[in-house]
Amino acid sequence: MAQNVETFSYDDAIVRKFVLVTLLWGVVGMLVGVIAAAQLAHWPFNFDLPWITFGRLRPLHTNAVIFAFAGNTIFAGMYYSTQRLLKTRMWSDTLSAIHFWGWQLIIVSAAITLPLGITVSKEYAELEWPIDLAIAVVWVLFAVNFFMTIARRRERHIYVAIWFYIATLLTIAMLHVVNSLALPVSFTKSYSVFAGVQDALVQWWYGHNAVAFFLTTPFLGLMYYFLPKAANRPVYSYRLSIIHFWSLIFIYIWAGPHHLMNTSLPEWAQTIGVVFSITLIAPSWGGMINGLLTLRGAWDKLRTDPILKFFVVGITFYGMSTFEGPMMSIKQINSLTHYTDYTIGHVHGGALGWNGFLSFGMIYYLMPKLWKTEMWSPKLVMTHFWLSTIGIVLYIVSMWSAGITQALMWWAFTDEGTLLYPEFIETVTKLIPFYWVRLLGGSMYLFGLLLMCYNVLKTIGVSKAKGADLSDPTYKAVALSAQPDEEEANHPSPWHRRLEGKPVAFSILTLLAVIIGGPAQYIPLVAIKSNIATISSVKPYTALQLEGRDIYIREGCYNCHSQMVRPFRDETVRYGEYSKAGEFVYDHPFQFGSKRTGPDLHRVGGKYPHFWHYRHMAEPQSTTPGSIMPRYPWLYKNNLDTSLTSDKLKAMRTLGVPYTDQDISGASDSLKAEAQSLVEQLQSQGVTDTTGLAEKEIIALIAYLQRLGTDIKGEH
Amino acid sequence: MTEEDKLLEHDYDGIQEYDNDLPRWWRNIFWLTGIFGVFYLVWTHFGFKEPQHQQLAREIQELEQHKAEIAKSSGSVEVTDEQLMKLVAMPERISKGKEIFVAKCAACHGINGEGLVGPNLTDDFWIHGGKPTQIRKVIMEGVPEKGMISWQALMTADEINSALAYIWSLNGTSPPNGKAPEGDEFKRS
Repeated sequence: MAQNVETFSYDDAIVRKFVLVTLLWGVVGMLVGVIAAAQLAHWPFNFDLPWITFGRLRPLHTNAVIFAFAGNTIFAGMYYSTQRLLKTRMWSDTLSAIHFWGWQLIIVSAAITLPLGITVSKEYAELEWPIDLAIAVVWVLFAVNFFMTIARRRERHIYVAIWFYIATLLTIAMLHVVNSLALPVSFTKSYSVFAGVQDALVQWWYGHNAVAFFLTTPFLGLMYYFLPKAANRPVYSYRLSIIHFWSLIFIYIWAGPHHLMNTSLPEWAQTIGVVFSITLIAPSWGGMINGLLTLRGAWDKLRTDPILKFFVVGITFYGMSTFEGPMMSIKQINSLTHYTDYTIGHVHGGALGWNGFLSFGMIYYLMPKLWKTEMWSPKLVMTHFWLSTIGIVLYIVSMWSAGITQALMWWAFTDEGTLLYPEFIETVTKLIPFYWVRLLGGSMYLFGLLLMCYNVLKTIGVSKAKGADLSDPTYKAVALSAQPDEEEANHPSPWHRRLEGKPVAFSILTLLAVIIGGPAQYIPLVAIKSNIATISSVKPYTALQLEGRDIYIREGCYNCHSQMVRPFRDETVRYGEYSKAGEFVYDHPFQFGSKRTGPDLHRVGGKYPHFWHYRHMAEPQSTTPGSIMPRYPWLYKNNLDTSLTSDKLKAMRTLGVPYTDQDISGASDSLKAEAQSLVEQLQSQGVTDTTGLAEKEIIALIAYLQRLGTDIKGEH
Repeated sequence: MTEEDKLLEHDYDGIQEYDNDLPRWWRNIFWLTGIFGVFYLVWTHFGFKEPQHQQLAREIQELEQHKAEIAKSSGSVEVTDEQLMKLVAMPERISKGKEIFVAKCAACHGINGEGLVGPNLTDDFWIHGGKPTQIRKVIMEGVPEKGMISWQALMTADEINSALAYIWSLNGTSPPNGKAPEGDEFKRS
C-alpha cells in the first residue's frame, strides 16, 4: 500500500497573485464608482472631459468591480480551495499563469477602451469584440486547467464548492459567447446580431445570469469552503446543499425577463420572469441557511473573530438581496422600483454586502496562510468591518429613499388631472441630498478597503522581514486508483453520491440544467410572429441618424436615459404613446436602458426644435435649469467620422435591415445632404455661426434624437 | 448542536458535513413560492386580471372624463377674449405667471421673453395670432411641428391663465437681444 502514497504540492504563489490584484482592482473599481457618485451629486465633476463623463465612467465602474474585483476574488479562492478539496496541484502552472496574466490584460484593455467610448452598450458586456474573443479564450483555458485538475484528483467525490465552480465555468462560457455575438464593422466597432426586443431578452438573460453565475454561484462555492474552515464547524446539511444547488442553477437561468418588466417584451415572457424569480427565493435561501446554520455552536466566536463577522454580515446581505430581488420582480412592484435608484440600492446590497464582505473575509482568512504571518493589525481589520458596514447602510438607505421618492413623484397627479411634477427635472433635483449621502456611504466603504490594503501591505512587509518560507508546502495522499471504493449504497443520497464521483456526468447534467431556460424563451419569441407585430411605417435609420445613434452609444446615453415608454397612465401623459415591440426591429443593439437619471427618450423625436437640442447638448442647464447632465462640448468640435458609414449600412443589411444597394452606395451623399438641411433649419431657428457645422458630430446626434419614436406617427 | 445531528463520514480538507434534513420552514417556502407562481400565472393570463393595455386605455379614458367634468363645472370651456382681457390685467396673476414663465417658458423664449429657440414674445408680431384666446390656444395645444409643447397636460387651466397674463404684460418691454419679429403684426386695440 505504501508505494501508492504520492507526494505533491499546492500552487499558492498563483493565489497570492490573485489576492493582490483583487485589492488593486477593488480600489480602482470603487474609486471610479465614487467619482461617478460625485458626478450625480454635483454635475461639474464631469469636468467637460469626454473620457470621464458619467456615461463612459459608469460602465467602467460596473465592469471593474464585477470582472476585476469580484473576478479576481473568485479566482484566488478557487485556486486555493480547488487544489485542497481535490488533493492535487493545479494541472498546469503554465495555464494558471496564462489565466492570470490574460485576465489582467483584459482588465487593462477594458480600462482603456471604455473611457474612449469603445463600447457595444450592452450592460456588463460593453467590451468590443476583440476583447470579447480574448475573454472567451482565457476562460476556456481556465476551464481546461480546472477540469484537468479534477481529472487528476486524489479525492474520489467532489465537494459542493466544486459543484458551484463547475456551474460557474460552464454557464459563464455559454452566456458570454451567445450575448457577445456581433458582426464587426472595424476593429473597434461591431453591431449585435440581435435586434430590439430579442436583443433585450438575450442581453438580460446574460445580465441576470452574470449576477447568478459570476456573483452568486462562485461565491457560494467560496462560502462552502472558507466558512466551515474559518469557523471550524461542519456544514449544516449535505442534503440541503444538493437540493439548493440543483434548484438554484436550474431556476436562475429563467428569470432574466424580470429586467424587462412592463416593457415591449411580450407579457407571457414577463410572467415567466415573475414566476421563476419568486420560486428562486427558497433555492437562494438554501445557501444562506446552510451558511448561517453552519455557525451553530460557534456564535460566540463571532464576537472576536472579524473574519466570521465579515462572512455572517455578507451572508445576511445575500439573504436580504435574494428576497428583495424576487419582490422587485413582481410586475406591480417593479413598476415602482424600475428605472429608479431603488435598483441601484438593491444591487449594492448584493455587491458591497455579499460579494465585498465575502471577499474581505476570505482574504483576511488567507493572509496568514499565504504569507505565514498574522495580520499586521487586527484592530484595523475591525475598523474596516465597521466602516464598510455603516457605509453600506448609508448607501442602501439613501438609494431606497431616492428611488421611492422619485417613483411616487412620477406617478403623482393633481386633482385637475394633470401631472403634479410635469417637469422631469423636478424629480431629479429632489434627489440631490440622497446622492450626497450615497457618496458618503460609498466613500466610507472605499476608505475601509484602503485600510485593508495598507494592513495587507504591512503584513507582507512583516512576512518579508522575518524571512517567512513561502515555498509550496508538500502533502501526501493515496492515488485515486489505489483508493478502495466507498460503499455508496449506504450513503443518505446514494445516487447523488455516485454522481459526485463522476465529474464528467456531473458537468453534463449541470450544463443540461442551465441550457434550457434561454432557448425556451428566445425561440417562441422569434418563432411566433405576433410577439413582435410588424409596424409597416417603421423604416431603417438614415445614414446620418445611424451615425448619430453610434454617438449615442459611444457616449453611453443609455446609462441615464431609457427608450421605453411603459404602458402606464403617467408615462403616456408625460412622454407620449407607449413603446411597441415592432418599433425596435432595426435596433442593433437595443437601447432600452435600465435607469432613468434623465427622462425617457423614446418619444423625444420632434418634441423640441433642433435648436433646443443644439443648446441643450452644449449646456443642458441652459434649456433645463437644474439639470445634472454633463456638457458635451466635444460634439461641436469633432468632425463626424464617416469613413465607415457605408460599411455600417452593409453590416446592418447583413443583419437583416432592408437597406438597398442605393442606400449603401449613396450613403455618403445622403448623409451630407441631410446634415446640410438640418444645419439650414438650425440657422433659421437662430444658430448664427454655422461654418463647418454640417460636418460636426452634434448634427448626427440631433438627427438621431429627432427620429426617435416618430415612425409610429405614420401609422395613423 | 442537537442530538439528531449526525456527521457524514467523508471529509474534504477537514470540512465535514452533517446529515441534517431540509428545514421544514424552508421546504414550506419552496412550496408557497411555487403555489404563488401558479396563482400569478393563472391570475394574469386566464381572465382574472385586466390586461395591461386595456387597463391603460380605461385609465386614460377616466382621466379625460375627469378633466372634461372639471372644465364643465368651472365653466371655462368657452373662453372669450373679453373674459381673458379682464384676467390678464390682474397683478397677482401676472406675478404668479412670471414664476411659471421662468420655470417653464424661459428655456425657449428667453428669460425676458426676448425669444431664443422660440419666438420673441415682447413685440407686436405673432405667428399664430395675438389675441388672448389665440395665445392661450398655442400654450394649451402647442405647435408640435415647430417644437412648441402642448402644456394642457402639464399645467392646470389656472396656471395657463397666469402664464398668459404674464406673457400679455411683456408686450413692448423691448428686452436686449430681442429676436427678430416673426409672423403677422397684431395691434392691440
